[in-house]
Amino acid sequence: MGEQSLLCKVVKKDPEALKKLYDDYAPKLFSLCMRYMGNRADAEDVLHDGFIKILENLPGFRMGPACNLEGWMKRIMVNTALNYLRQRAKENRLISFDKVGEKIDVSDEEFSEEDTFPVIPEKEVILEMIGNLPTGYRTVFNMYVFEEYSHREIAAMLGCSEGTSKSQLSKARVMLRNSLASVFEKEKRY
Amino acid sequence: MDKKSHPIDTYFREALKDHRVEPPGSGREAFLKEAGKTGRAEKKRNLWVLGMSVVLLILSAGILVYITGDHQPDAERRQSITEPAAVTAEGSMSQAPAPGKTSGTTAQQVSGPTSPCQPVPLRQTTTCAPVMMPSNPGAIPYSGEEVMEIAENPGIPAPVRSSSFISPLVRITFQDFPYSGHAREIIPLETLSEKKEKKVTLRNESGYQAGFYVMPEVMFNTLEEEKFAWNLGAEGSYYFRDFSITTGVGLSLTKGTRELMVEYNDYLGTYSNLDSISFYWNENHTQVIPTYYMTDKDVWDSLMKLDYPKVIKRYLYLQVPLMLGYDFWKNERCSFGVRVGPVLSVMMDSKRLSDDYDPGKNRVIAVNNITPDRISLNWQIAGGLNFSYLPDGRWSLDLEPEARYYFNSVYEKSEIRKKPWSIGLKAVISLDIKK
Repeated sequence: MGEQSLLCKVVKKDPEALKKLYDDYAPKLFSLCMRYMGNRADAEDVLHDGFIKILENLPGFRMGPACNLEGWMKRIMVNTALNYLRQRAKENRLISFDKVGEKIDVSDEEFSEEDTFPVIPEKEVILEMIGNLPTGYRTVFNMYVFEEYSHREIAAMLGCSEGTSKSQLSKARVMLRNSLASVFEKEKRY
Repeated sequence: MDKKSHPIDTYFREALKDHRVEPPGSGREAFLKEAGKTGRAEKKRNLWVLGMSVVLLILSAGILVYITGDHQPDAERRQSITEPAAVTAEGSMSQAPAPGKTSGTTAQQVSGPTSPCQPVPLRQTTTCAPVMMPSNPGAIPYSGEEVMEIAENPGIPAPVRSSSFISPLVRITFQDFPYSGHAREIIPLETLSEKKEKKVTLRNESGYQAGFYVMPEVMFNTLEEEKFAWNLGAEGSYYFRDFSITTGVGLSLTKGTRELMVEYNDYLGTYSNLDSISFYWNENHTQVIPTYYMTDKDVWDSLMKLDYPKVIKRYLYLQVPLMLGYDFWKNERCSFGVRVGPVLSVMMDSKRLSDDYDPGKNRVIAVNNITPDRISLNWQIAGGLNFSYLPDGRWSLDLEPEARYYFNSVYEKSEIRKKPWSIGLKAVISLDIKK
């Protein structure tokens, strides 16, 4: 079934097409949700809400060379995740961009091009490292690295300054590097 | 620093490239269940629309049947039987009413033959067509008791009787008439139905019509679900034989909702900011008195929030249709046909009906239009059935269940793949200019 015909059937709420859409895209999108939410339970909620939004907005989606289905679905899922985080922030679990986690003053210059990490651990371990980041760091890191938003866009979307976005990213990098180092250290021991 | 060259970024991006995590099966079931619910709601709405369309069609067909069918009540029919007919054979029939004329013959008295086309005795002078008028004493105008009475008293003028019966073609009244000795006359049917035929020929001629129309319309496949619009205007038609061309100008009024997405920071309040302090001695120079210079500073939350305000607008379109018509059935009062043609819509005006969005003291970061602007020009193809009724030869009333398909969306940069379409019921009152 081609993507276009699949979409037509999904718009008509064909049960088989709905199943196929979910089976084809849910694993990738669930990975995205895990990255943003940091835990499985919240990621499941976001995935569900995101898929319902996708279904509601699908009649308005126009496939084209500059707009592929997967990219469009990912954008919806990211927005759903951000809304979910904002909602949580309302419930006094604010995403703080300056006070979360330990204070690490680090500049990007501390990293060099020669920094290499030869062994890539299990993807689940990588995912866990990202999940362990404080919410603010994690959100900025995901948006910048995986969704490739600029700091200006991130600042606009999260309602913070560009400087805050940059510092959050730097701190996230440092934390991740330390996490990687500790993982490699453990592996060396064994 | 280059965004993609940072080793940590590259490392994590590569590590999680095409990463998949299998979601739990319960999530899949929940999604399919929810999707089914929304699908059912949509189907229900479509069924409702279909039902309304069918009701409209049945209503239109019912009106057509009513205005064309023989729906005269029985009582009225009986009364018409006892009254003198409108169409009479002049001359021999209206001459010399007999003295001692009586009237008020009941329906039962004249209802001998139940059908006007029923075979009658040889002496009966009336047949359905052509109409034979009695001209000799041996001829008896009617059958039944009257006939017997006359037969028993030959040569005596018949008592005054008034009787009539209805034929599918003509209604003939028998006034009392004496035996006159005239030869039987044949009244041709053309003479009797002259007026009716005139009307039929009028419909067949070519001519012009001008009229006004009004049409409620329901649109589908728009960004705002179903939309209701009122169309009204003037139109002119040229008709020849069974064909017609109609054009005109009309106005279409519709309301629309524009949804905005506002990104903002909540206003949290103010604090007093100390700008400076100055000190001076009191008069005795025993105490230093400070003076604080404060300014109020607003504070906003750093968390970005989204709001989706709606602005209601009214749109006015100028519509120019060019409809081609063909009547495939017609009689002297009604016609039934189809109308198809393009319609050009040009947006003339849009007026905001609701107030502007007021963010209050919140800090607005960005305002984005979710609903795109309306397009200023679009084309539609319209088609429908036409029921036309002529109460007299000059005025006509038309009823047109109509469907329209929009060749382009009514919105700019619309992402809706399906084109809008609409259904409506057009009512037209028009005047034949040629007469």
